[in-house]
Amino acid sequence: MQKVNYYLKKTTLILLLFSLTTFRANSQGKFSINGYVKDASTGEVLIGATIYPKELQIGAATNSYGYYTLNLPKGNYTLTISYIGYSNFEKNIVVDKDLHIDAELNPESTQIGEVVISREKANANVTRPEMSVVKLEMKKIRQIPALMGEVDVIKAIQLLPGVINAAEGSSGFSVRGGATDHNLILLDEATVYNASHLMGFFSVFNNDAIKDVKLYKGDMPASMGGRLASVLDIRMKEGNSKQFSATGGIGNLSSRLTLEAPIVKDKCSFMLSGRRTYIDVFFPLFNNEDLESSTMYFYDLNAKVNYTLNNNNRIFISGYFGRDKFGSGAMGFGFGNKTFTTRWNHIFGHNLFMNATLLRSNYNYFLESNTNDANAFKWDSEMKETSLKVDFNLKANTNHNLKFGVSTSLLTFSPGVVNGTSSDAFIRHWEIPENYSLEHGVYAMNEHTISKFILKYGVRLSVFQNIGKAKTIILDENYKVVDTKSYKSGEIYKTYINPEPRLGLTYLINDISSIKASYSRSAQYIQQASNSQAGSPLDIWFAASPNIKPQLADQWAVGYFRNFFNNTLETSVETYYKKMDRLIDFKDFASLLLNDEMEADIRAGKGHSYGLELYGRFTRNKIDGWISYTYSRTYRQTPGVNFGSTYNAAYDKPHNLSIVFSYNFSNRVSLSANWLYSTGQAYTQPVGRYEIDGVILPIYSERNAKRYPDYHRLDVSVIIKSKHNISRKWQGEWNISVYNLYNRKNAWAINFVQDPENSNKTYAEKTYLFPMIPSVTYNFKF
Amino acid sequence: MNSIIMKLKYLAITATLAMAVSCTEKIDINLDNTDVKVIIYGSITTDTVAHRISITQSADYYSNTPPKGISGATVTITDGENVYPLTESITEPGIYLTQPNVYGLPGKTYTIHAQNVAINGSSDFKEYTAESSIPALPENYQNIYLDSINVVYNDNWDGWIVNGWANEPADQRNFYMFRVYINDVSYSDSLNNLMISDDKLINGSSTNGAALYFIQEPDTLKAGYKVTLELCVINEDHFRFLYEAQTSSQPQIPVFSAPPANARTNLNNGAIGYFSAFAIIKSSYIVKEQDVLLKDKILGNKRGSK
Repeated sequence: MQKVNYYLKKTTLILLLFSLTTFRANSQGKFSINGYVKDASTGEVLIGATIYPKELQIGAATNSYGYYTLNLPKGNYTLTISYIGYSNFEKNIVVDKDLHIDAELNPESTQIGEVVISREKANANVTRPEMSVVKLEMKKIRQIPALMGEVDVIKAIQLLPGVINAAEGSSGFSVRGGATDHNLILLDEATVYNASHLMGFFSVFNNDAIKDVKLYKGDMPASMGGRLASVLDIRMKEGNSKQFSATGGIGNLSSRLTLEAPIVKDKCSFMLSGRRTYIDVFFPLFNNEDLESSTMYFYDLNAKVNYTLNNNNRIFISGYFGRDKFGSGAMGFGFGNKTFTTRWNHIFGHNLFMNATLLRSNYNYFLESNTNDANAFKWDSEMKETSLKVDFNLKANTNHNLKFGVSTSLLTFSPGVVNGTSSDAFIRHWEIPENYSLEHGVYAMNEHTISKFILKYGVRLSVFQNIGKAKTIILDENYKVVDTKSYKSGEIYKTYINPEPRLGLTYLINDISSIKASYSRSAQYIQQASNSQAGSPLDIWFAASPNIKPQLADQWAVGYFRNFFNNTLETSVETYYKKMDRLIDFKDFASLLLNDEMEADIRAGKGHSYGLELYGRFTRNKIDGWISYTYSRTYRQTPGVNFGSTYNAAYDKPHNLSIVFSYNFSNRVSLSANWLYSTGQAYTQPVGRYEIDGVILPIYSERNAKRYPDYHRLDVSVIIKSKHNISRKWQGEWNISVYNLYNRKNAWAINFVQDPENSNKTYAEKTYLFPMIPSVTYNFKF
Repeated sequence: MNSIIMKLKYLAITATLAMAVSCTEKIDINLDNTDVKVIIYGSITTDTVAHRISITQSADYYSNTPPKGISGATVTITDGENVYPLTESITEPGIYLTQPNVYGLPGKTYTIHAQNVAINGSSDFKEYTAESSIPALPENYQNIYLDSINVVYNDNWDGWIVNGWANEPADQRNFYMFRVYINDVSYSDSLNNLMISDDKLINGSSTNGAALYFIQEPDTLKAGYKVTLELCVINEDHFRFLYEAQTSSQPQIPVFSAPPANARTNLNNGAIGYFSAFAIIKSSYIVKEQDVLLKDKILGNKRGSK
């Protein structure tokens, strides 16, 4: 394997150099067409819109900022721009010089059936030189029935092939055998370190504030790195630059309001969005004294401003702030994320696009006593990231699309600080000192078209450094702490460097079918100290160090993509094999909180995963949806865990099926349903018992060798829109949904317990969370 | 690891989970079985009493009968110089006791030898040993750690808090186990009623009344009752055993629980269980009339506000 890796790395570099030298030669006699593609009603840029001249078999797509570049030989063309859910934009152009063409696309008329929407280039899924990528439109996500009516991007993602949810109702997800912390979750490029609210039942992403969601499951672009399994790239709305608009909703759990307006029409606009739950308002009604003295809520705020200085310069500033608060009579608990992103898009000449980003991200939590006795304390934990990234996209000519850039981050971890809070405190000040790391990346990647082949080759070089001031522990081969070592402030005491080749090949068989293959290597330097199934807000992030080597993954994937019925049915078959090394695992009964010697509890293991993913997505006039089926297996092997033998990973659920379906009865009424099936979660059963001091203790055998009963569930929702009235701006819509319609009691946990009535008796007990839950949400727009 | 912190952590979770509409029900699950294992459990302490060792055998998970004692073993405890033989109890098979004048000393290491141990019905006799040390303590340790205690009813916990006037020596790493006796009857007779804590957050600290133990239910204590707190200084391995055993007897909560695992043992030769040695420091308190009146007042206020 080592040899193969070396060979791949070498090949990548040679190809890269080769492509760079061929640019100049090819670009003669061609002109560059560039510009932005936007929604005509809101001015929001459209991500992934396709641009192509009808006369030629070439095209381009808009990037994350809605920008495109296309190289054309001299001539007359009909330039066509298309985007799902929008009417095509067409324009006759004469190409005899470089052109800047901005396009505004109209959303499809709501009068379904009246307009025939042509979708000549709807085969983007087949022709795009990327695989293992899924994109979901916000409109579609909104239709999917949701728990308590809280439409949730992450829950929608979990319905896609290759994605497995961590536990019932959890925002944690596993991609192709990865752990939940192997996913890089980005909101406007800033990492969200804990994407969950309310113990994971809801995610931090307020649907109304989001414009675009894309999940990379393997074939990760070289511009991204730092996680083994996936990148979930979420972009916030920019704000309506045409007119003031408000969207909002009132639901069982929360209310939402989003305001958007131009500050300078077509130049500068803002978006402000908020959401807050109010379930605690109803606590007194439960007539339960524990609840009466409790608080429990979460809120989110998203804000974004963008300013278009001119055709070549655009600035975005965005931020997210969210918090969960829990409190009982005796104690309080809170956690939340903050992100702040400033971006500058600049176009050099006609074909070099640059995005520079400065961002900050923060996750923290606290636990504190609400009392004033000797045991009163406050416990804080925080992590911070400050990053600078510069990305370039050079559309050198028709056949080369080059992306390159650099990034650097400073990560600060403050794993835990405890202070006694009363005047007569027994608990003293105690802390795990702050520690610091630097993570850098430099990458280059080229998409190289050679007739029916599109080659994608690139490499990301990631560099990770531990930087003082720090005190590290030195471990012997039995993970015993034998010594400590201190480092001065600013001293770099450990550096890891990893070249991460990313290769892809697309072969276009014809207009409606293609074969794609990819290989990618990724390295991960920071991870979460979590060994529970669903993860908790207390799980801290920690960095690679002299004791903890970076995790590595190699993934190979092959896929066949084929569209049917004039591209209204998109299908794909993908298969992958993933090899993971130095995977973070924990010894039995590891102590992961407030442990200044936590590294001694960590064990590095190996893992591998393979799978087959089938996906079919259909979009017709009245019906749309998808069917996704995954067969996958994931295994792990860690010294000291499970007697050193290979075991089923926590997220190993071989069969996974999701059917997502919507039917539009009329312009006003639509019905959606989804049915999920998966093999039960792997767990460890006792094989015997013994008694100590009146308590029965289990004797366990193999880890994760047995399974919960199979999981399945049906959710439905009906959306009823108010009558369309042109003279009225207000548009309302009722969303009535039922989660778990046939009330299946899916196991959330299975426990083996001692009967409280008869201490000699033990039995198995299932805990299930959500029975049939109906909910009603009213959404509005004006 | 600190038990107080752990308790508080679970309190927060419980509040949350109570909200999630979680329900439980019994289900039938067939389980595999494994070989019957020998379980040895017991301790020697600084108290002068008949120290107790139990030798039992493991059973199928659904066996639903009391553990079977293993009779006829030859059991001794030694400190390297003296050998203390144990004799089997006549009334409780599988329970072995030292003479009542035996006591352990801080800083000494004790070894248990159990010979002629065979699982019931088998003639495959085996020998098992384990050793454990009582932590080394200063000469006057009985007067340093714990000065006195009292009890106060606590509304947030719906029970009685045992507060200690205590000093935590700064110069060594200490691990503690707390046990309570009410009118000289053990209240901590269950593994899950033992409170354990390390000194990480309290090293070198002293207190005039910090919560060390918790007694459930308002009516457990009445005026005139004698409450005795045992502050036991235990070694690190014993502390970890107790933590692991308590953890493995508690339910799995997907949000917080680590994958289940077997609690450690210090016995050899395939036996499980634990042999421990520790120091005990005691303090007693007689529940006063005003302690109960204060409780009644708190409970009365609460009912009144309803």
